[in-house]
Amino acid sequence: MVHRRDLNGEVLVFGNQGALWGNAMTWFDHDTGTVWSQPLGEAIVGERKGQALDLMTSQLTSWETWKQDHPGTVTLDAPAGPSRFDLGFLSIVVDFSEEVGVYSVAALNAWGPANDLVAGVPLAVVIDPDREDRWKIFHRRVGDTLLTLSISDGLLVDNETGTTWDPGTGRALDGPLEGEILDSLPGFTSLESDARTFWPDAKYWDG
Amino acid sequence: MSLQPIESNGRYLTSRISPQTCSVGKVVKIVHGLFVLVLVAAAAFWVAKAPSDQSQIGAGPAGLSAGIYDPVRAGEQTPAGFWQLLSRDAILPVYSPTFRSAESTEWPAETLVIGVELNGESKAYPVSFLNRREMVIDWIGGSPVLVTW
Repeated sequence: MVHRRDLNGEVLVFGNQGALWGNAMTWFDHDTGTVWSQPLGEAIVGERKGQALDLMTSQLTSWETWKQDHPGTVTLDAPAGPSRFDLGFLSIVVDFSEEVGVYSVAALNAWGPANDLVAGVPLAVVIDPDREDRWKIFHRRVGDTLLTLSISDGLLVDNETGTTWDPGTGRALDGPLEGEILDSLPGFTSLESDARTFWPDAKYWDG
Repeated sequence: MSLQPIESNGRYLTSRISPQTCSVGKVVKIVHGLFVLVLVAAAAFWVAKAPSDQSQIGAGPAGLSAGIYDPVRAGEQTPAGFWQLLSRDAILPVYSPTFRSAESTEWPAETLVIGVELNGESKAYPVSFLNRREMVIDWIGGSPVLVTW
C-alpha cells in the first residue's frame, strides 16, 4: 500500500510499531507517537486518533509489466527474489471511506470488468486479459458520457460509443473517444478474509 | 505483510504438552525444549536480520524512535485485537531509500513489485524485500509517501 504521509500541511515520518491489529501491521508517527493501522491508514491510539492518511494509486504487478508501462521508472536499490504471491487469490479493494468495494480477482478474470458505483463514483475494476498481473481501477465517466466497459478481443470496449481502450493505460485507441484517457483511481490488493475484518460492511463483488 | 505470533504459538504448545513421569514424558519434554529453543532462535534471527539490511539501503536513523512517546507503553487503551509483538523499529523501516535506473536493475521479469507513479516520476519496490523491511519512507513526484507491505 502507498499512502501520502502529509497531514494538514505537515510531513510525517513513520516507524514500525511492532504490533498487529486485525492481523495487520501498525505504524507510529515520530512526531506524536500516535499508532496507526496500515489497512485503514488511520490513527487508532494516541493524540492523532481518528485522523487518516490519503491512499495513493499503486500497482501490484510484475517487474516486467511495470517496466514496460513505465520505461523511465527507477527502482529501490535492493535485492529482489521470487515472491510466493498469486494475484488470483486476492481481491482489489476500493476504499472511499463512506463506502468500500471489494472485488475478487478470480471473479474479474472469469467475468470481466466490474462496472460499479462506489460512494457515488462510477468506476470499473479491470484485469488486463493479456497480463493477469496488471489491474486498474478506472473512472468510467468521460465528459458527460457514463461508460460501461467490457472486454473484447483483448481490449476494453465501451457499450455507449464503441470506443476501444487500452486495459493497461486507459487510453482510447480507436473510436469516437480516441485520444481520451480514463482517470485511474486508488485501490489496493488484500486477502478477502483480511478485507472482511476491516470492512465488514463493504460490498463484495464476485461477478 | 504480517508477523507470525511466535510467542503465542510457544505458549499454546506449552499448554498442550503436559509433563509426564514416564520415559516417554521425558522424551516429550526434551523435544519440547528443543522446539522452544528453535522458536526463540528463529525469533532472534528475524529481529536481528532487519537492521543488518540497513547497509544495503542508505543510512537510516537507527535509534531514532528512542524517546518518542508510546501511547501503548503508557497504558492508553488499545482496540480489541491489538497485539504488541516486538519493540518499535525492531523491523527497521527504510528511512533513507536509494534508487537505481531500470536499465541497471537486474531483477527477474516475474519479480513482484509495488509500482507508484506521481507527477511524472515512477518508482518500483520489490515485494520480496518489502517482506523483510515492511516500510519505506519516501518521496515521489515531490510528495511525501509511505510504502508498506
